[in-house]
Amino acid sequence: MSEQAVPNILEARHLSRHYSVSRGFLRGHATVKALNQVSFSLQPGKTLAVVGESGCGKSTLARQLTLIEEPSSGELLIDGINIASASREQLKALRPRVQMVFQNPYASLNPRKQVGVMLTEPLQLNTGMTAAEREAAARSMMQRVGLRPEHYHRYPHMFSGGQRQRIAVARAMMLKPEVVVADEPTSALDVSIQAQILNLFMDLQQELNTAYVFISHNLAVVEHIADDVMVMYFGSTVESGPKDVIFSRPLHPYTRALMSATPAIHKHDRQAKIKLVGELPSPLNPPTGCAFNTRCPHATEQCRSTVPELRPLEGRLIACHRIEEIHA
Amino acid sequence: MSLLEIRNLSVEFGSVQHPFRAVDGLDLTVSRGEIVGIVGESGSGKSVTMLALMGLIDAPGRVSAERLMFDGQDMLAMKPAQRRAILGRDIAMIFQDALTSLNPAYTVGFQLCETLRLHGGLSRKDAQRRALELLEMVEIPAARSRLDAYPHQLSGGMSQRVMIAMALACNPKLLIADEPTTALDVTVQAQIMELLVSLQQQHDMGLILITHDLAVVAEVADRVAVMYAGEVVETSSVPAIFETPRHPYTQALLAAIPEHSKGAERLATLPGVVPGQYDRPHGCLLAPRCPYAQARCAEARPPLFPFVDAGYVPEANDLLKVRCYTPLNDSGEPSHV
Repeated sequence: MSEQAVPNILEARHLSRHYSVSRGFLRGHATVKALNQVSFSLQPGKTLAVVGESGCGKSTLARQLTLIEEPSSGELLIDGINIASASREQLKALRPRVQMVFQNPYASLNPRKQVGVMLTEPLQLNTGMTAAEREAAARSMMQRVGLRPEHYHRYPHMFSGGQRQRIAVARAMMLKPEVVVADEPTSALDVSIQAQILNLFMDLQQELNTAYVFISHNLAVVEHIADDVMVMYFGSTVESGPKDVIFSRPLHPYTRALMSATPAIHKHDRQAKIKLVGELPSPLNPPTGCAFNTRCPHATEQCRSTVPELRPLEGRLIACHRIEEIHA
Repeated sequence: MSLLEIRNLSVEFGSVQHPFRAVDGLDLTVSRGEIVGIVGESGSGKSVTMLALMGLIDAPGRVSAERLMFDGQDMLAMKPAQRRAILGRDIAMIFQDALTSLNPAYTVGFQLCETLRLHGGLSRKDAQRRALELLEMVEIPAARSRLDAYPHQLSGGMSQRVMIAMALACNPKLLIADEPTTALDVTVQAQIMELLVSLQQQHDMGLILITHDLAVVAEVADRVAVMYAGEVVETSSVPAIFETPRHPYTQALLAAIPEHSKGAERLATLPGVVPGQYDRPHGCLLAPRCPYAQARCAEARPPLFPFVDAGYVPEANDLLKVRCYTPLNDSGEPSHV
């Protein structure tokens, strides 16, 4: 997946996050495996898209990458520094380098703060800039993301959804992070506004060479913005590889179902719908073997008993026992 | 004869002196067995239109229409009680967020039976039996045990199935689905859309599908009305509207979809945002954002014209209408009529 020489800015090795949840009085605790052995690497200026439906662990992954939570096991390396063995000072220095943009710009902005305050706050906390320098930096960032100078003293409620998401993007970019984790940044927006925000993401990436972890369930958006794609199901990676490889020939039954289920405007883009029965299994009562076996049209006894390992095949990584048989 | 005929429907909010027209002069017809899509961005008035039809606009909102015919009956001349008997029985509606549309304090079975007993006049026992049939019809596994389930025990897809069962409880002639799959994952969305369309065909219903997702409409609808800032800007048939959009807004909306600009670095965008309550332009509502706007576009608002173009041969029951002085020709450029 990675051409060597350029060092990875972000690397995850077998990252897992398990939560312990109470099942009620006297019944002990159950473990929810929200994230299982996820590995990937990301180079500066590249975009990794994480695709999957609700409950697949996308947002849990985002929380690990932004150091909001500590992973239960596995390693996370930011610019070569392993966060598990990093000192407090190192961690403090790492945090500003990974920023996040959230899904809902109506909830992610503090309604009591002016745009200018929101944009200068990260600088105040993390840099030694003077007030005048901070304001100048905030104003130049506002211009870059397409906000007007008079917006500096306005509150979030005075903006539309698209403008708010611009503010959220500007805030994430203030510290010139090397990695931005964007969790469904356009799914709350209308299509014409979505296009504006996606263009903004791509412009900023070109300008600042930021790496993106772009979490989305919208395959059309992913196909547009990604370099690499990682498809997740029930906390695990089922298929990952370069965008062109995955989109031109998806192999995993789940990836194929996901792509066929996505509605298309034009007839020639439409695929025969692969009908998946049922919905995501309960995380408290996970299926044995392959997590997808309850909905997979190709599931066999082997799929129900053993977990498939992620293995390389035709330029990608894939976790499926029967892939050769299915596509024979 | 069409099942539903709406002519010149307007919905106003705010004071009488300074009204805000959320929906302005909307015409719409739906026939039995037909799927009509209404697409538009947030604030375009698509949901308000349907709420007005269902009589769900409360004061101080004001609804007016020139004509509102359903199944040969004039709904404007009806007494409120008569109208209530039709709504929920012959015209049923499915909302976007199924989890908030169901009452959390009652079981699914109770809520289904309530509809059946109120509108269908069934006895308690018959209602129970019919409720079970309905849950089986919408393909809910272990339907019998689900009758006693509370809404919080159901997943998003399941609750939307229950909502569909409830809407279909009295065999409606017209079903209005307001963003029925927006809150759902794509694989579940595909299941629910397939279910909706197959039920629509089985029962020969008219279906109005409100959505912001053009692709969903492209896959199932027969006709589409595109709304912008409270007005219909284009009505056309599928797939014609997606192949040769005639209104600049429809064209821009299609161009903004990533699927449309495969391989391109940047997505085409429409600058600016939908005009709000206080900044609606005097002329064409799209004029400030339209790449083809001319002087007259800012002066007077264009009516919904039947489409005319040199190379265009209208079909027998032509329904293509565009609200634009210079609608786009086959190559996507403004024509000068």
